[in-house]
Amino acid sequence: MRRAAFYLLLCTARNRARRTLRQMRSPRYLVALVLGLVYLGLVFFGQRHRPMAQGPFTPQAIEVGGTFLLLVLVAKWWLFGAERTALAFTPAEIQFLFPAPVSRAALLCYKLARTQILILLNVLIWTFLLRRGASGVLGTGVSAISLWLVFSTISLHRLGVALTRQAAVEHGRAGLRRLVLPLVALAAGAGIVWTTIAGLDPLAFAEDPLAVVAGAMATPPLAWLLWPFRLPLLPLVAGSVGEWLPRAGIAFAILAVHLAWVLRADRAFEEAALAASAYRADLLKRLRGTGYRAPDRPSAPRRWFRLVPEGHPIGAIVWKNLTRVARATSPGLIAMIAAAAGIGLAVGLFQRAENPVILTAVGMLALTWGGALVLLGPLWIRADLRGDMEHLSLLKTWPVGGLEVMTGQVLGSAVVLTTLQGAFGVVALAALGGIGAPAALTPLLTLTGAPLALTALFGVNLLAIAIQNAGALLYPAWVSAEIRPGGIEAVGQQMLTAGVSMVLLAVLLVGPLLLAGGAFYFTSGGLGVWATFPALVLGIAGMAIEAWLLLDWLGDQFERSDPSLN
Amino acid sequence: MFQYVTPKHGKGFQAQPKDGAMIDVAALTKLYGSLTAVQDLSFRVAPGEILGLVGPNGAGKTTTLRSLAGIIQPSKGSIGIAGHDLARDPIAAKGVLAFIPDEPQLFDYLTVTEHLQFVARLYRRPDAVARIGPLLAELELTEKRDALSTELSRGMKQKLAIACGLIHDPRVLMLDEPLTGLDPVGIRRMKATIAARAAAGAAVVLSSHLLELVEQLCTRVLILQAGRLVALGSVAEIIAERPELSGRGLEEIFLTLTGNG
Repeated sequence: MRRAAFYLLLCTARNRARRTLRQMRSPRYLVALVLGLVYLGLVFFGQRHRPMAQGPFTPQAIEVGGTFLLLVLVAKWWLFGAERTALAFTPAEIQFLFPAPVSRAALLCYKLARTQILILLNVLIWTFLLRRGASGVLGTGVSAISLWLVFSTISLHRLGVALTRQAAVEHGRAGLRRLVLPLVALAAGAGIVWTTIAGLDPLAFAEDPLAVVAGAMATPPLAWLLWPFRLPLLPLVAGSVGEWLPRAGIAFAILAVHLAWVLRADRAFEEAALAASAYRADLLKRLRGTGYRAPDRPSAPRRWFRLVPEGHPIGAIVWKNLTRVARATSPGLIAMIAAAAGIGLAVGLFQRAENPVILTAVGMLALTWGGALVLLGPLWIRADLRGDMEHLSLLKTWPVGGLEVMTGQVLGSAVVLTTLQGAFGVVALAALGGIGAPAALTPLLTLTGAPLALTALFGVNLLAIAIQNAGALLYPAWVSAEIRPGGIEAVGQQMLTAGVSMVLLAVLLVGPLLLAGGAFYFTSGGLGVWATFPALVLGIAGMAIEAWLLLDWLGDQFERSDPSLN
Repeated sequence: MFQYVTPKHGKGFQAQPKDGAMIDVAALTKLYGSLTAVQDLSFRVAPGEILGLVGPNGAGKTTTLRSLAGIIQPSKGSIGIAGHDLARDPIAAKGVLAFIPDEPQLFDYLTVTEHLQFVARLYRRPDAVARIGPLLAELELTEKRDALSTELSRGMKQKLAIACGLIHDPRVLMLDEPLTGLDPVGIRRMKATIAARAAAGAAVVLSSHLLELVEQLCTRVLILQAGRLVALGSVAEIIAERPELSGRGLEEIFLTLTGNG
């Protein structure tokens, strides 16, 4: 099996490289590749010449943020299940490998080897981003090994959780007993975290949140709870090679324990892998465009929006995409998030006099998610052409112009994204308003300015989504067409894609920002804070003109596109 | 500005056949780099006619159909659909045609009825909504009207794709292997549906490897080989041009003309 697996991996990598090279014959792909390399170079050299303290990834930030991230991820995997794609095989792998005379351990090893390709790629990206190798005492190689240890441990743990949970389901009551211990540990951990948060000094937290959290992390019992999560990260933040060696030894030991755990997987592996592969195929369809996961038990689908028979075709395209989002979204999940936000707000408002940290945390969490949606939302929400790439031929038979098709496609995602951001904004305003911040936002200004601010946000989203759709249309071969084991080890790639998109968006926003800034400058003398209004109006007008031009160009590209070449 | 072509209210786009031809293809050529997929292909299809498009794998049938449907742009030549130039007036041309591919292209998250409502709106045919019920009955999909396309069998999906093609009452119908996945009853109904549409005045182009079907349904046959036209006409016309084929059926004619006989 080892030779066959090696042959399969080698041929796949070689043929993929050949296909990529063939794509480079197209000037469009070549130019994009060169620009991408230039961007990577700028990121690398920009980081290299920046002192460590100025970057966002200080050792303290890595240790504190990384530990909590690992805690949250592990808790999520044990409570709600690990990402099922961790176990997924492609349909061809299932067809050829599963009926073949291959042991379970060999199949798992093959899966782990494939995962390593993604891990190594992201180790490379994160080594650049963290800039550890260039200026710290640790060399690039040592930093890369440290990152590899973290990502590999995370990946193995996720796989182990997926297998353990599947085995628990397969073995009924006896299997479920295996989950009792981890779940009890999680409950105890949640209690410790809650007690620690409630005991934080609000004033010190507002001044230097990182230092306060780091201090709390070093104090028992939280320090004991977080200790296992800190261990894999410690080599990454070592101050010297002498310090790194023992830490790396421990991290290697943890990795070895994980490997043994995963390789001792019982019969659940095949069932889990098949279930995960079916899920993967479904997710792939979603990414490629069919978008909806068929329910296990068919029931009458919910009708969220009604399509009226008469009207412009753009309305029909937007309706189609909104229906897709509505049916692909779990109402339970939305209800859970809304309930969590509501309870957090209620508890925070009730206790704001004694403990304003809760309201601050809810507000900051909502702001963080809203901000993440501004940055990464255009990548995540794909109710547009990216979701219809599989149907490009069909779209081209419609008696609808390219501009209309692209406008309808882009509007769907922009509406969804703005709605989500608006919801997080409302929660953030309610929470932070509850503790008197920000002071400049009087109720009148908030009420009158919110619709305008949302419109401006919609404009930004429209441009950002249009950029993503331009990428899909111009570089269809690069549109994500493969589900890889995701998770934190794949975040590096997402950050790069988001970075390129943000650069393009920033370029597009220069004009509208200049217009808005000019309007604010000239009117603020007389209008004060109300000068925001003419500024926003002019900014929105600028974005509307740019969106129109961009969509017109995209429509032209759509009409020229040849689906048979994709 | 948006190209909002306003068709006659509720009646869809208008067909204006030119010189009696609903489909008018002149010197169609499609190149992919150095590969010539279709070369200098010319033919016309009149209303009520069913043209069978046959040829071995890689002959250029699908490329021809996709060019006629406006999915890909020809490298050279022109295509007229119901009097509209496909390159200059694509919206009006696409408004009167339907292309039904061999692999049904459906949206997983729309129900059967919603697919038809969606297509009716795209083709600006609010009057078509009233035809959804009868069309579903014709294609035996009534029981599945509220089912998502993911819940349909392969044959049912094919029927839904056909229903989507027919709902706006196209004057030009292009079908690529239309019987794939259908059961015997479905095949019989499909044949009747195609014949009925032609009898009602639609021009039909049908691509299939099932030569029996082509012989049975089509009024004329176009044989393609390596992107070039090898023969065009009714079986009798083809034999008249090549007396050595006399007494042979379409299958033997096809094999002989494509060098496999």
